[in-house]
Amino acid sequence: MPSSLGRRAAQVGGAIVVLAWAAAVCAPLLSPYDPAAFERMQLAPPGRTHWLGTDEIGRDVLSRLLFGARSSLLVGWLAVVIAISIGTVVGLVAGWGGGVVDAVAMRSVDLLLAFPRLFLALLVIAFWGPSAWLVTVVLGLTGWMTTARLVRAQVLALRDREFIVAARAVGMPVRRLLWRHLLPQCTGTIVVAATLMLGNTILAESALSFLGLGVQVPDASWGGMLNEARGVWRSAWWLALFPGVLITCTVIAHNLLGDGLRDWLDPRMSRIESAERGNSE
Amino acid sequence: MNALAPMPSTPSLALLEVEGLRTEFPSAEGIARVLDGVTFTLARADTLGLVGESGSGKTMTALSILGLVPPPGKVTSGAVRFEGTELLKLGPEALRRVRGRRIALIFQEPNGTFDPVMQVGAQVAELLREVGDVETRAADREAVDLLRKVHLPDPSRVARLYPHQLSGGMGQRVAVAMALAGRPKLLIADEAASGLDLTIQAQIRELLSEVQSERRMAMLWISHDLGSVAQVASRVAVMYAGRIVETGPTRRVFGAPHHPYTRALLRARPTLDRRRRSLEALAGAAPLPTRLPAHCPFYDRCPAREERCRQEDPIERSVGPAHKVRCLVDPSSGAS
Amino acid sequence: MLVFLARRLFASALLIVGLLTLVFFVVHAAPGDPLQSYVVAETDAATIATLRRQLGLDQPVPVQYVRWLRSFLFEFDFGTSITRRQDVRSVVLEALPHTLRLALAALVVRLALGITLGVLAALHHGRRTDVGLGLGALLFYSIPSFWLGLLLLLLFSWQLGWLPSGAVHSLDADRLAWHARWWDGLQHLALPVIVLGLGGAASTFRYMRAGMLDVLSQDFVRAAHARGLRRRTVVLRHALRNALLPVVTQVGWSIPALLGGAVVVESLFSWPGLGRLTVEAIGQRDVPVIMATTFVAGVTAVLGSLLADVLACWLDPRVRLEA
Repeated sequence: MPSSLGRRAAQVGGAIVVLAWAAAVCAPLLSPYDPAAFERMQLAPPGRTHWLGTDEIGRDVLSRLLFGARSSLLVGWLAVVIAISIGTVVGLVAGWGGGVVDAVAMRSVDLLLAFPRLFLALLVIAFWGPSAWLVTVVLGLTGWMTTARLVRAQVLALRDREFIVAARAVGMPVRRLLWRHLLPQCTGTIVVAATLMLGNTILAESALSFLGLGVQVPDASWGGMLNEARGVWRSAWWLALFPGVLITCTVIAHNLLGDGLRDWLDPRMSRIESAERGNSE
Repeated sequence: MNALAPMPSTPSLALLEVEGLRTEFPSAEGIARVLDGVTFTLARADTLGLVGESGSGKTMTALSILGLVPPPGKVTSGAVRFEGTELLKLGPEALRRVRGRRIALIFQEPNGTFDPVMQVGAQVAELLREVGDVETRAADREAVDLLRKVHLPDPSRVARLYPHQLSGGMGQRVAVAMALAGRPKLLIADEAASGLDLTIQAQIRELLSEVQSERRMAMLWISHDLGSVAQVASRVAVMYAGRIVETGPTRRVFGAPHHPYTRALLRARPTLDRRRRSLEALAGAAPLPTRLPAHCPFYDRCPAREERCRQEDPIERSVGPAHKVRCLVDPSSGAS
Repeated sequence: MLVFLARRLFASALLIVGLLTLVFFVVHAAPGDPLQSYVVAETDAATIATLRRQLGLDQPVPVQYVRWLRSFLFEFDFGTSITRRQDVRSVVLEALPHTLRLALAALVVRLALGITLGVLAALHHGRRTDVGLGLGALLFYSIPSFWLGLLLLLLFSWQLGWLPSGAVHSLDADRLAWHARWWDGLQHLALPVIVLGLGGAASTFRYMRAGMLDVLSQDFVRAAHARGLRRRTVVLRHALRNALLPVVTQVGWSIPALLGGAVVVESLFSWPGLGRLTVEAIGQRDVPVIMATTFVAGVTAVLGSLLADVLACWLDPRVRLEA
């Protein structure tokens, strides 16, 4: 993408993300109804009292969408925070430590990358029971690998640079070296990796909720709403349309933001590398 | 002092005539005029050396002749006549048919110019088929013959090698073979021997001269190495800031240079002469192509400059048989 | 090349053992008694104790691990399904081919679309075609597969009636002639494959476009033009072949994600594959089935990546000759 278009895209993406968060945070204020309350108007099409209609139990769709934003954004972002925290630590330790530590870390990365993420999530959910928190943790635990590789690569590249060698020569303790000198150098890479991961994580959460294994009723989630609508969507098109539109727009916004940040923060990244990083599907 | 009018070129002898070639690139800082009116001629089976420092426009001259200027750059004015045909007016397909078949180009880093996943013999054969109009079945055999002609030992084995398996010298020989596939009348060698070992450099130069005389090919030898130019070229053109500042028979230009820049170039070569204690480098730098002055571009660094040099842009004038210079100052009258 | 192959095979074998260990670890680290799912609430203590002994759950964990590893790897004994009362191996083997068919067809769609459109976008870099394709890719990259499937179902199955809404075959497929049955199968395969393939096509598109742009700017491409080769030859024979190499590797590494995507698609279209089996088994708390399906999915992913890696290595003479 030419960079001016890229910058504009990132701004648009960023704006929508902020908007989504605002809606999620202010959901209690903005919702016209209680998302869990059911009324007598079941399967009402969009109209004056219920702007986006009601579902088959009579709950207001708009309110559920607003609270659903909370689920998707919270789970998505929190999972990514967990993932980059683990990934950064593993990357730093592996890159710096070398030898056995590095080997063990990289084999673990290979192992987890070889496993389909969704199957692993299903496995954990099967035995720990489905819940939003579990999904968050599992997505975090299965998403750290790319970050670890990236941070490790950065550490390896920086190890022999003069400022690091000099710091070691004066006997700086390792922990301080890693934390105060190496880590700041990696921030750009980490931020880019994180934002590129957000879109996929949100999709993964919505897929799990769609399967009934993520955010549980009566809490609202966009994927869950699509699942609940399965029986009736032939007659109630609004139940099938809005949650999907919101998921798509939110993910597009995060992807645009990620692409834009990548162009801005790490322009040296070759095009192939960046396509690779966005690609944890 | 003699300010004769420039001699008209004799069309029947000249193979390549470049006149007033101007190539520009749009950039954030304005239009960069990389070539600022390049003019020279090349006769059949003759060798012209093109020298200058990096950034003077030597490679861009070769690219402009062949219509290979990378976008967003463009040739904005001038004429390039090859065997009478005006190249700049040709359409893309006609221009493609000139490349390889009538004019060939060889580059500095040969191994980077080959497809990394294809055997070199197959690449030569491909050129023979597409540019040399050789029949498909005969192409592979002729490719090996061509590799033998460029003195590659065990050519059928070399043909099955991949580019990364070739040494620099071998690669350049393969590149020469590729250049010959279309039987061109003009070979442009852009720093073809630079970056190789000295002995290999000499071998490549010898190979090129042998091929040249055998096929009666003309050669444009582009180099920053004055020594190689002296060995290879019968005539030389000196480039500075996108223009030719001096051109003439090599012996005359190097033996009795007129343009202060040529003098400076010759003086700057390291020698074993004990009388000279330090390297004489020329202070300053060439003007940026985005900020070419309206007067002589060498003014700021010229040791022989005069007041009028700041006011007008010199045009070409003759200072001897086939020897031309773009300078207002006569070296015999001023200090140098 | 052989050394490389041996090394990768060994690494894959280790990965498979690692997968088994991971599965075992997850199951046994979970809270609650694994026995719960096997028994009905009213069973008395004696029966429970016998059952525990039969299943080997009274042994220390490391012993259980070794026994289980042995039965999985060497005897291919995955245990008995709680709900179906047949051995898990046959249940899984019934479901696996459906998933494979779906995944392979989706892979073909993904490669065909991603590669051709990626090359197209690269050749029209910066112009409207490129921007348009890029936006399209962004859309299909971001859209949830189950929602895309839903929309396509609404359109093609319910509105237009052109395609069926689920299952592998129509109910009366057995009575059809072989060509009608083949066509019936294709119709049922169409929507799931499109849904599964489009998302992946978007990411392959990005990768192909990026790779192609990189290759087109390399010296050997400009040299090929300078030597007088036709544009088509340069682009298709030289640039494309070089640009395809990293794409093959990338596709290999995205096979796990492809299988993961199949879970959702199978659930939506009632496709009797491994993914749907897993989700059902979770609902039924059928422990042996869950363990087996996740393991088999993992193995398939490992083998798929291995295949792609080998292919990529073989295609690149620089690697093939060194390794």
